[in-house]
Amino acid sequence: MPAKVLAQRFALLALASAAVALLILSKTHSDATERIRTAIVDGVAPVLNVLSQPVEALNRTVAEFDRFWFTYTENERLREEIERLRRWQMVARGLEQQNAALRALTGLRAEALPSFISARVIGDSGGPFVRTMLVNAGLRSGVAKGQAVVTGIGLVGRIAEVGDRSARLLLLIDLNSRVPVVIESSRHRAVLAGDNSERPRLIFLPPSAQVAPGDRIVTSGHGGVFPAGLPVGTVTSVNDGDIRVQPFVDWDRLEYVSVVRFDLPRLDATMTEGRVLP
Amino acid sequence: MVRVNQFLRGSVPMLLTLLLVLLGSLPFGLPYFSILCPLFAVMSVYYWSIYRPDLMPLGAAFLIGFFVDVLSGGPMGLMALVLVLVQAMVASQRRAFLGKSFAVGWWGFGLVATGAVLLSWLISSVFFTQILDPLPAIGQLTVSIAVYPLALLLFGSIQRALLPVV
Repeated sequence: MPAKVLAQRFALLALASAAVALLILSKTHSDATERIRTAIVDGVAPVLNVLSQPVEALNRTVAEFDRFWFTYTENERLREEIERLRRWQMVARGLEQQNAALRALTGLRAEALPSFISARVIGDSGGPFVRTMLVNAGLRSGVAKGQAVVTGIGLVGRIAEVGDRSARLLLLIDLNSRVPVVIESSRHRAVLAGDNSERPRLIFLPPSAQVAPGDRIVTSGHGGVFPAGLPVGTVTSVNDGDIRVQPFVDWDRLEYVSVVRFDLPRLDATMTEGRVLP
Repeated sequence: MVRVNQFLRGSVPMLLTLLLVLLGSLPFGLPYFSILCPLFAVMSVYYWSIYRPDLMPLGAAFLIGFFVDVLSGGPMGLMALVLVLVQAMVASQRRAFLGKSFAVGWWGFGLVATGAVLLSWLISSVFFTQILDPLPAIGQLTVSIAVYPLALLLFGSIQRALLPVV
């Protein structure tokens, strides 16, 4: 009996130490633990892929029922929206022509347009201290670490870990998320810092910058990872230094997302050739 | 043949827990689900450590915790450590719960889950080098304690159906 108790104590000590060692390793050598993690997630991804389909079908049925119920009010709202967008379309057409003319005049080269990779959300685990999701696209589809993830209405986050056929996306509300942004109207730069709450903070805004609730925030493209101009959210509150932003994305309705493939070919080319940009 | 059958039945608690963890990480589209998702792993390790500790050894608790960490994207080793400690504590005190009323078991789970959540909050705070907002964790704990009777029903019926005491 004492031998059994001793073995039990030894097992406890060994496994607890192994867990602590793993914790330290994932803090100091996160790339090593990340590789283990992506390999296992890759293995589980097909299972999640299958299991998430009925869940998605159920969600869609509920959403459809919802839509059916509010058909009348929705119709009215859409009619108004169409009116508003028609007016915008006229303005946009005018601006497009003016922009093309001015570009031709100044000889400004058009920026490389990003391409998109569609992916389905297959996992939404996280727990209380992390805000991440799993998607069913990985290296094979061209997904790479650091790429921006968007939906039709705005920025979702970035790719944090990537396996062969799955990837983990870090939501922009996560504690570790930092996104370079600008205030759309005033063009003041800032960084949008997640803190696990629903509304991330705007930090590193120049003290002279004017900011008010309702201001739109878009990505600035600084750092060269994200394309510029992706819609992020609107400022909701400004309390001496604590500026909160409500993201456009509805976290509970995320089914499909687009991973933005955005390379800076010209920058890479000039760097390898050792030349300086004109 | 009997051995194979026994082995398969014996692995039910662990496989069931892994399945629950997997189901809990599906995108349900419910508000706050990913934050408040019940701590199935803690429930399962707690239950089996009391009733069949032979089928939920320390190694199994470690593996389940490791799987939770892999899926969650949080600090690796966090839940592995928490569940190993839960198993060790509950298995050593199981006499206090065996054959006792439902209320005693529920109360015990409340205590163990509170300890587990507190520990994971502490470790996460150290890991991310800042004091994390404990409110989501308190919410998750509350949901878990509320859901525990249902899990008890599930585990109990599985134990009766598949794992008669040998």
